[in-house]
Amino acid sequence: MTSRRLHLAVALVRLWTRAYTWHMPADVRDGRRAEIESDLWEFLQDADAHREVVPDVHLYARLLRGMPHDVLWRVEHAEALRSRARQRVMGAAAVWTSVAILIAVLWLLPLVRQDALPSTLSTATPPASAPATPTVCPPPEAAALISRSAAATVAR
Amino acid sequence: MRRKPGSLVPLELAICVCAAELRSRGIDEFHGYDIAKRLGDESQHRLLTAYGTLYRALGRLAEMGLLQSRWEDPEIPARENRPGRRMYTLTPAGEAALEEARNAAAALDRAPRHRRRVVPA
Repeated sequence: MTSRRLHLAVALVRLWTRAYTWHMPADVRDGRRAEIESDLWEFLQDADAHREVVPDVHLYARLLRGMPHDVLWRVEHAEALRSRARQRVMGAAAVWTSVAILIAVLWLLPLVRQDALPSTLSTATPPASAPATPTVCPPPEAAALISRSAAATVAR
Repeated sequence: MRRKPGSLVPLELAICVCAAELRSRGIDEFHGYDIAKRLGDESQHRLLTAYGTLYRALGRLAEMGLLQSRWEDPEIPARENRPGRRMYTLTPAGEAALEEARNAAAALDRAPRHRRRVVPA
């Protein structure tokens, strides 16, 4: 009878451990399960531990008192995982944004290069064969008038 | 209530104390059940520390760098026909934290106790 009750207590400890480690990363989950398994084995081998308290009652007491901490442990790990996932998403977003900017720069660069501009704009000196066109310079009075009107526009 | 980062709760401190005592006896490594037994003996409790409480505290101490853990060589449990043990060791940082906690406790003991002020109603 005692043995059956003890087996039931052990099974419940295992079941609870499986429940609160369910869907956790494999290393964390397996680590905790293996640690509890080792603890159970040590307890069952330890005759001293069975002297004062009935073994299955002892197991239930350890299980029940530790349940809130098990839940908190899971919550802490879930938070850590979420924050790690958020960091991964942010990192990926930063990398993709940088790649997009780089591609845009590489695509736009040939368009803004001097060589790519139309020949009429890019050639500073007219070809020798072309007839020389007189440079039109505004007279000094007109230049002063233009600069005054520009300043007035800016001030407005 | 949130704990201060880096501060130790009584159970964590008790684990460090037990680990330091083990080391003074020449035992560098211990496993979870081992420390649960020792904590029970120290506090003279009939019940061992609960699973969740104990392993969460051990995990936190390992995360804080006060304990170091490793899984024992799988050949040993296979030979002894038992589950593998996760072995913990007190790190130098753990020893320093323990020393600091002891100094803080000693300083608190030495500090003069102030009388309570009686505020008239």
